[in-house]
Amino acid sequence: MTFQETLMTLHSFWGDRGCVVEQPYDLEMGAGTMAPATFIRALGPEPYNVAYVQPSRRPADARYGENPYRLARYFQYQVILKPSPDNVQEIYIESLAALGFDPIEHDIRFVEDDWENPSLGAGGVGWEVWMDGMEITQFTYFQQVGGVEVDPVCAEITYGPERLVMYMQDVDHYKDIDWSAVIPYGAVRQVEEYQISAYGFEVADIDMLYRHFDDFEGEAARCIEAGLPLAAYELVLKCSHTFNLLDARGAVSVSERTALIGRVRKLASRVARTWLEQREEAGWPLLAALGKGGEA
Amino acid sequence: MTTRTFLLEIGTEELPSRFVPPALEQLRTELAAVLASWRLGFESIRATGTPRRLVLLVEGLAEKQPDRRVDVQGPPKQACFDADGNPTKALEGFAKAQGVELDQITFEETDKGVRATVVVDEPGRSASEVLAEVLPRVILCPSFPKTMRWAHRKVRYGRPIRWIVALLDGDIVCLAIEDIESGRTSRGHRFLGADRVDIPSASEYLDIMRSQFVMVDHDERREEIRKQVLAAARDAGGEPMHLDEVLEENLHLVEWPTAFTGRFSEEFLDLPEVVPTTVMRKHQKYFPVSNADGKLLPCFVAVRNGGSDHIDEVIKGNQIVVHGRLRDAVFFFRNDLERDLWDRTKDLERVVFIHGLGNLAEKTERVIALTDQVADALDLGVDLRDQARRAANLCKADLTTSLVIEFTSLQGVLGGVYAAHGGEPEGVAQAIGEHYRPASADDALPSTLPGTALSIADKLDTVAGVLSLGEAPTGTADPHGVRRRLQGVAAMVMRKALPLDAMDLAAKALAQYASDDDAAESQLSEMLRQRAEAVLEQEGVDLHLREAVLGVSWARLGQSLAVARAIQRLDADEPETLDAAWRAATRPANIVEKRESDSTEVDSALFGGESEARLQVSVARMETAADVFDREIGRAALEDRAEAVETHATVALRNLAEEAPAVDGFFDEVMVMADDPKVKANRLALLYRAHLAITRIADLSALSRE
Repeated sequence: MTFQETLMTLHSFWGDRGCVVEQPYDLEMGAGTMAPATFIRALGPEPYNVAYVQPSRRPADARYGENPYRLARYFQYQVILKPSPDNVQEIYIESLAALGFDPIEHDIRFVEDDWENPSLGAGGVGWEVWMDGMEITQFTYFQQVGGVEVDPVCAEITYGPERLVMYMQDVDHYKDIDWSAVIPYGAVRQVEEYQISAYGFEVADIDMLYRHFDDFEGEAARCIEAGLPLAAYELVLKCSHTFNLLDARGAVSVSERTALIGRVRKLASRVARTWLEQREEAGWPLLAALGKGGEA
Repeated sequence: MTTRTFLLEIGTEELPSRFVPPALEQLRTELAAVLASWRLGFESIRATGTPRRLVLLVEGLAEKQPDRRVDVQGPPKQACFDADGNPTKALEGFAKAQGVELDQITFEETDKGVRATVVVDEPGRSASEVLAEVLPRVILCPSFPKTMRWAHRKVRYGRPIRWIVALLDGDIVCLAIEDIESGRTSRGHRFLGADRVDIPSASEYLDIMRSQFVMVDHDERREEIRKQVLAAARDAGGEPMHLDEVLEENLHLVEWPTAFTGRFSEEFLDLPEVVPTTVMRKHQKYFPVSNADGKLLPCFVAVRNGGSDHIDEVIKGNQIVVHGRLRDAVFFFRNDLERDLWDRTKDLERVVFIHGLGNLAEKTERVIALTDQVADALDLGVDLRDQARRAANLCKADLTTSLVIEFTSLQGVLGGVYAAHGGEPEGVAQAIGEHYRPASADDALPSTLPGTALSIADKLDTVAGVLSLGEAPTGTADPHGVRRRLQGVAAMVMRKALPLDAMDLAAKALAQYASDDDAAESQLSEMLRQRAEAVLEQEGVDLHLREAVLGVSWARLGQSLAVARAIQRLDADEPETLDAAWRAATRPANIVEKRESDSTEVDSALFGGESEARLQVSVARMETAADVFDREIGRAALEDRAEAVETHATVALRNLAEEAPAVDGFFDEVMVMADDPKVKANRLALLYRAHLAITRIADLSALSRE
């Protein structure tokens, strides 16, 4: 199965199970969790099932395209099921079967691994899923998002498609993955990896980034005050990515680090509360539309 | 009475392996307590399980509670009869409510006065009825290290509960945790077994689960894994390393274990051995394999949750993973070697030590100064002192290496490896490598003197820093490991019988933070005392004996454990000697508390009799014995000091026992608290000298020997 077939298989698998198949959010972010389809939709009582690919930016993991596993921009395949179905593990294992992994032929384990994102005031409990000793998925029951205890709890399933496909295709470097039948991953992305690595480590203008951080932060606060939490959230994402760039550039001392993360978290938590207030005022529209259970 | 077998299976999603053993223990204890309080007898309770099921099996459970007669109390006697002695409405109402005639009522003395009383036969309730009522509480009793909610439910648990089987022989005990209802339907192994497995009766449970590829009993599973892992390692030409530790990690990760062997490229054996073994043990939960000489072989044993079908695919995948991780490690290791530790110390300024306590370069400066002081106090000599100092300079530099950033648990150990690569003398590399020891109460101590000096300095500095921030540990919260570190310091000083005044060093460590905070110092002293107690307790020293050996000065902390051992041995081999020594120590100790000054001036002209003069001679011998004790342990090499203390303490205690007649004679014949204040002060001064000499070894008066 090629890289693109893998993504399409997951789309059709989760689409068939009642998920909204979203498109990637068009802003830089560190993980699929940060996309509004997760951060925002995990809040409040309204059911929501969604699946999407999210390009994920990790400037500090940049390796100029050379490292077999680490990339500055890679993909996450993200699924949110809210509320978490009682057979969520079984559905997940079916998705592996859809990708051609017969669980009888492999060793699949759920190994304790709790997840936390301090910038978003989010955390959950769950596992990393191992297949034959390799971590292929992060599986989390969110407990808190934006500093708010979530109720109902959703299940988050985050696949690492590059890892999965490397295993499937038996290659030991990301660049050798068959993206499609005609072109390898390296040909699609390696030059870009080199350039964004060089930018993050060598070129990025530290003063400009600090200025942007301040500007985005101020703008986010204004949006919250204007009653536009979704617009504010985009600026929170920009703050977070700007911070990641500064961090990769080695421009953030440990104490500053805590302070900057604290500033992002504060905004994220205000976004969460404002969004909840608006939805409550609107009478939780999806509760009426989709019922309590949703479908998965 | 007929008895029954009861089964409770709490089916969950995969519990973290570390959650399972304490949860099982709590479930067993809770059920035993509940059954006892509900008067339901049983022969045995077994708590066992896997990551997906917590299981309680009760054998020989009473079918019902025994019947019993109980006294039901009614109104007080004075309310039962009116002025004419006729029954009141209250009494009649009580009789009616209890369904008895008035003449069946007696009047009994109770703690609320005399009351109308009826004896009622209470039939025992059935086990099934009682269990249905109490099981929800039992199921929810475990206190998991971390709990969670799932879907709409309010209940919190270690992981989601998915099913509950509760069977009394073949009958379902009906209960529910929110909407999760009990039944007889379990589930087999996730991939090899059936999704629904009906259990006809409790006693068939274990066999049925085995047919579903679930080895429920964890003891059986442990032995099965051990057997398979040993066989696999031997087939590969070696022995599994860290067998017990990795075994416990794997025990609650699998329901149906199958061990297999994988290989990795020999080129990775060039890494420091702790790197591949850490990758295997900690990250992958594999058993590394060593040959007969203890040398690592390029292979590992792992345990699959499943059978042996398609095992080649599983082996291949695991090999790919370990290869990738080791290749990363090699990359980091080579990068790290490009700069030596001296060069790296320049980067320490950029690394925060503890928030509020500056950076690691500053920490290093303090540790160097403190190491010097420890080395001086130990009189290490030029060579060892230099080694300790060099090691102190370099000890934190490995925190900037990629490999330590990746494998935090290898801090120090890798520092030692890098130091050796950088051409540091062996003693320096070794001191760096062991300066985080002991990392826990059970961990080994640093083996060398420079390593010990550095470890003490490093720990005291951290403890002092945290206390100067006002962040002393509270309750069970000790985020900076203050207690663990202090206990490490106490353990080193006491187990090696080091002639160090740990409190004086601690005060110096505090002074380096420019903290003139007396509160921090008294906190530190109190905590050090508690940690010293903990070390003694771990060595089996009882409360009174701890009091005796710690009740002397801080400067003598180092001798405390060895003296305690000497006293324990004397108590076992010649208790009458210890009795005599105790008497000789206790009689002066009790009375010197009444002294008005610390004078030790004794004027023999003020003596009132022979027994007083005899005591003076005796006290002089006690002082000589204490001098000999100090001199002999002072002469002993630092490496042999614990043994020397024990030997010479025994000699001193035997000598003291011989002074018992002189002490007894004095107290029998002389009135210490004489009317003449001069005579009284003189007698107290003499006794005080005896007490001072004796407490250079131990405060024997704290022992209880009557």
